[in-house]
Amino acid sequence: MSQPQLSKLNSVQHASLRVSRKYSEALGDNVMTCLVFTTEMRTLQGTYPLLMQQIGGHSQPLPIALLGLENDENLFLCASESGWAGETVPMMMQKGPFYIAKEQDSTGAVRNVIALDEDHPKLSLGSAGERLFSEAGGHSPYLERIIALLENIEASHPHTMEFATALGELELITPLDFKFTLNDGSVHTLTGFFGIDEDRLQNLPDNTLAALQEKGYLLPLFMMIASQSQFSRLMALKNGKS
Amino acid sequence: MNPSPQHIVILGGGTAGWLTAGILAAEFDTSTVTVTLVESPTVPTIGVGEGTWPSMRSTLLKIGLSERAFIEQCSAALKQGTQFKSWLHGNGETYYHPFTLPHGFAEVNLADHWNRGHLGDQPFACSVTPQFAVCEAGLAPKQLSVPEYAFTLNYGYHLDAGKFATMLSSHATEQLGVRHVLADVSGVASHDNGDIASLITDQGPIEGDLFIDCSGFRSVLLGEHYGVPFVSQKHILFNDSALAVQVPYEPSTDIATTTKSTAHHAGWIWDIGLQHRRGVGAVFSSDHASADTIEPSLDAYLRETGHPSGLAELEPRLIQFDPGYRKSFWHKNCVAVGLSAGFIEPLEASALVLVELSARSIAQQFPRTRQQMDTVAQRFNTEFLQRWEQIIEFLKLHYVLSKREDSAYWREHRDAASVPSKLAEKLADWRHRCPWHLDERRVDEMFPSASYQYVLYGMNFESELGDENRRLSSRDRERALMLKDEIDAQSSRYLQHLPRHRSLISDAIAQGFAATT
Repeated sequence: MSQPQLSKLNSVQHASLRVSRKYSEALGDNVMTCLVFTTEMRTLQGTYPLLMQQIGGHSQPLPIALLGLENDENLFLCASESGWAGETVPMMMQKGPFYIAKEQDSTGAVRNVIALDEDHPKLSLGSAGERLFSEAGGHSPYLERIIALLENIEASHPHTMEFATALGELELITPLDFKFTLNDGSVHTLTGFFGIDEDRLQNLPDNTLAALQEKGYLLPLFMMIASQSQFSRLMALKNGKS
Repeated sequence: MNPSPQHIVILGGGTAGWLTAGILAAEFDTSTVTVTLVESPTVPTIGVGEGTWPSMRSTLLKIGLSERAFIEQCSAALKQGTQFKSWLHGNGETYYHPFTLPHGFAEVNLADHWNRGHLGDQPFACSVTPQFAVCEAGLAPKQLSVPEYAFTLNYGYHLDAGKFATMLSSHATEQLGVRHVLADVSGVASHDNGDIASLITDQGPIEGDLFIDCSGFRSVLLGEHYGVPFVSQKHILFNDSALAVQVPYEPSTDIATTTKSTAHHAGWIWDIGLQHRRGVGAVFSSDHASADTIEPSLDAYLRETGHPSGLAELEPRLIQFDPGYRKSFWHKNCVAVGLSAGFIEPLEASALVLVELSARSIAQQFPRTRQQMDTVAQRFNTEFLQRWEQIIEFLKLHYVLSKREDSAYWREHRDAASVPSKLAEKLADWRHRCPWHLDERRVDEMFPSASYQYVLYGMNFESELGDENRRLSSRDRERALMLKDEIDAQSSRYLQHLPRHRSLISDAIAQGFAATT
């Protein structure tokens, strides 16, 4: 995927811009995985398998939600009003075309600003979708929600990265490669993912466990383990589609 | 079309009967087809083999059984293939026939490259699949976090056939609407056209449209009633007897993840690990040995394989059979499935898979009218005669490739007169070409060409491949070397991360797999 061209959000330039809140293949949501954060794992684990995957140039695999069982497949896309079949949507999918960018002001201090990918298919100048700004130029309620979401992502990011690094360093993750058969007899392969190595987790020394607990890693760790039962949901969705 | 439901009556309540009942009842709604299984309360059943093929995973899934419950209730273990020992020279040498195909089998024929020495000097199976290393290390083919019936490395099962029949019986009667009748069958009432109208039993007549004979070796309907002749294959595969024992072991003992097949002077010994015991048996030819001469071999085998008291305190059971099959399997409105259709030595565990395939075939082409039944019967007979021939050729291959000289038994097995002509032709062909997709004439060939490769090159069959040909262009060779690197990387990763077989089994029973499929 090419790096998006970001521009800083601005109430004049983007005054009449609208953003679609729907999810669909045409709107760029047909992705097999998305990054997830430690703070949302509790709510996501009842819907998605949460695994680890080597992403981009990161040294350690990062936590992701599995949305499909092959590349460019998101089994949660559907024909409903919102276009999404899950009760709860991962933050990275909710945020759509928005990003947080760093900006240096005249004093040299760095602050966060909202940026957007102007080429994103969810953006339009038509009459459909959510407005970002009111007639008077103030934030729309929708934009307020996006800002809160981005702040949440920004706040969760460091903890999630540290969590991923700790799991890697303690060798608590284990490759998870497998094949499965659908009702129509076709065999599919899932490869390149990692799960939690439960044996190693069980055998961690007390002080290591205590340190994990102290840092708030234990809860997300167990949420990831619990989430694996959601493979059933993905397979049922895939069986329904094929 | 007849609006009232059609009735299938299955005679016999062993593994074959209940597996057939389960497969058929899972396929049909009870308003269109009903299934009744008639079982004698007095005739003991024989468990046909305790090893399955990987096909059993999809069969169980279709029937609607949970894999966790299956493993728990049938004392099952996971089988990743067969390890053959002493088949080539009789000196303890081994090779594997694993269930996982050679890596990249669809695109590159690694056997070609292995034969030319491109892949190094490791044994064939070791060079083409990580399953070799995993089997050698006694590891499971998957982790607990892999969903039920999904797999990292392909696997089937070892199971307790008696418990399996019991589990299938409860599931079929409680969940799938199969009617279970305990009755002794004393005769058959016929229609004018020779079809079976009903089974005459001490509980009254049981009528049906199609009768499935799962009555075991007796072959009550197809053999005794219809007199369909039996075609012996003893001139090709001599084994007609087995001395079987059940060897209990400590619940902490590692469970083998392959069937072990060890050749002896007049046959071979099977060794199948379940959770609580091993099933061990010496298969032999009564023309070449007797139970008395085989007992010492079995005794020595047990002593060498972790059971120091040998046969003492065990009660070997002698099983005798005529190797072969019926001339046809579907006659009039009666079709035989299981031992009543035929039986051949359990090398390569073909018994249960034939039951699965037969039941599936009946389900898929279930005739809706009597008229249609003759066409279906003819097609079924052609299909299964071919399957039996394929099994016999493949089993014979194991003997033909042996270089054992220690008995007349092994020498006679290589006598050209005992080798089916189709097998001889294939072997002549493979002298100059490694088997691959060309050799699979049909999609549902019993044994894929990969199986032939594992046995041929496990037993040092020499293919004189001549000069590098077009298929072995440098690109093909590069791809083969890349595949070999992937195999090595997978092997070391699996060795590091896959659990021991016994611990996966215990964890699966205690906690269940991460997800159901």
